[in-house]
Amino acid sequence: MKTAHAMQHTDTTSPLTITGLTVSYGQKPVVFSVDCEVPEGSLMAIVGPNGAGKSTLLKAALGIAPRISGDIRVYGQPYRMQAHRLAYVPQRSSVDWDFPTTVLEVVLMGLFHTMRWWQFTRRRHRDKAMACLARVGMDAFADRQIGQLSGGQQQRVFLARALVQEADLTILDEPFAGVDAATEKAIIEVLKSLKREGKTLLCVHHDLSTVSEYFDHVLLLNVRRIAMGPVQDTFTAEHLQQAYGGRLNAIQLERITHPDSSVSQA
Amino acid sequence: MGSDFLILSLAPLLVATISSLSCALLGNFLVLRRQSLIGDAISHVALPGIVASFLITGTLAASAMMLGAGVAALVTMALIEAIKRLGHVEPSAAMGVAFTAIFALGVLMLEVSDASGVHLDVQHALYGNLESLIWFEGLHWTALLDPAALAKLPPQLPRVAWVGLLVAIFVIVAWRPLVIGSFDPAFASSVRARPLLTDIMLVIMVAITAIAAFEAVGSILVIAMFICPAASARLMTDRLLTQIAWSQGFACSSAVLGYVLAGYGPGWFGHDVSLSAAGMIATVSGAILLAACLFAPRRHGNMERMTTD
Repeated sequence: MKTAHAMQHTDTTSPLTITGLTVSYGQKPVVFSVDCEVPEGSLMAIVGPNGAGKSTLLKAALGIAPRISGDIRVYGQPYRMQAHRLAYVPQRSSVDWDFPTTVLEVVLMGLFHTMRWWQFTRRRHRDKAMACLARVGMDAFADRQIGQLSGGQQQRVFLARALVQEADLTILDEPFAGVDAATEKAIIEVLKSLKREGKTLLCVHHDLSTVSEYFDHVLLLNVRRIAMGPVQDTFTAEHLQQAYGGRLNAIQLERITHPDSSVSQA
Repeated sequence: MGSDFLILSLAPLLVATISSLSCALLGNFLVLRRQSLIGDAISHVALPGIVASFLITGTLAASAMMLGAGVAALVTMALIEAIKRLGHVEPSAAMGVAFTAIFALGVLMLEVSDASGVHLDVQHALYGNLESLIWFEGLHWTALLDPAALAKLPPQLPRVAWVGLLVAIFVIVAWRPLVIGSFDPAFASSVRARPLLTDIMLVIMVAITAIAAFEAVGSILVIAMFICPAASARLMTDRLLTQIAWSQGFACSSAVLGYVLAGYGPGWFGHDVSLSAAGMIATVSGAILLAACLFAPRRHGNMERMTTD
């Protein structure tokens, strides 16, 4: 019953529908003819080897990278009409952390939609930003210059900026890259709580060993779409071999796809 | 003494200060975007733009020159993009190639055309001509209240004043997109803060400002006005608004100090000459930058971060 309802829902208003997306830098396509439909309320990973086009797929979907062909729908409409329902967290390494600004100011950038150019930030804006910082455990750092933060703290600030946007769909590019274990735990807790609130999350993810633990849906990508669906059906040794072109050995595959039994295997 | 100052120094001093302030204001964003070279590029291509507009229209009217230089700036930006994309060249190399080539073309055009006869000579284009901004009506302080006398102020002064106002309005109105786009262009695009439009607007504003300042300080020295105060200010603080305040302070003091030193400095040492005001202003702003590198509080920003990691 529940599944039937969800199916019906995705048919009409999937948070993100990508059809026939092709992106190319120079001669070689980076992403080739990818179809993808993100189910509402899912916590979905995009997984694939380096250079598989994972980040490019997201950027092209958001219009940040140019695409050769393909149709993108956000809640059934072109992106520009639904941009306010979407939050994007770029790779942490894509910005200059020496920029002269504070943690709180970065989070306030998430309120861009709701504020006009002549408006000053008011108490209620700052309160909202502080609440989001508290949710990622960074409220004590609000007045810090962002260059003084560790990598994990920077990532949490980026997540807080997405939280303040109150988006229905949040897209994150490698949120766990180069962060400490405490931050990874804090971030996944926030993502799971967003999912419980009925939000949809799409995440480029690198660490194969945590896919089954963190996510419920997965898109395996290597320039082309290899497989997509619920983790238990899709995240199989066969699909992984296809995506990674045989670069994973049998023991690795067993550990990744059956993390619970990995102890006996090792 | 009073009338001497009014006739000879008031207009150049104001033109230098206002140009310096507006250049420095935009310079903050160029420095933060690591686009300092764009200021350089635009100020250089202003020359061929102005020469081309003279060749086409046959006038030296300010509006025609501005338009010519503005078009040249946009053409250069497009050319830089094209070289970057088609030649797979890194941005700074593409920029360097494009603007030196176009600037050289401008120098040649200037020599071949008759423009060199009419005030538009190479030396003034390169080094500026602040000292020529004489206010013949400034015989007495009361002239400052006399509309007829004020109307005879060198036209460069109202021009830089209008441009300064325009720059200030642009920065205030476009503040959020400018800041967000400078810090995180991908995020800016995702919230539809229009980073590309902001980029283009910034380039156009830089072009307009460079051209307005061009006559006063020349196309080579205007780059010092864009970058030095902002780069010095960046070393003073880790807050953007404070940085902008510092940059305005540095811009104002290098303009005033530079002008005074060039005009009166040699006299203090018994030499009966004066130096190029534009050259001295650029030298002073360079000296401020050097001092900031040596003594400013935030010069160790990177090291601090490494130790807290």
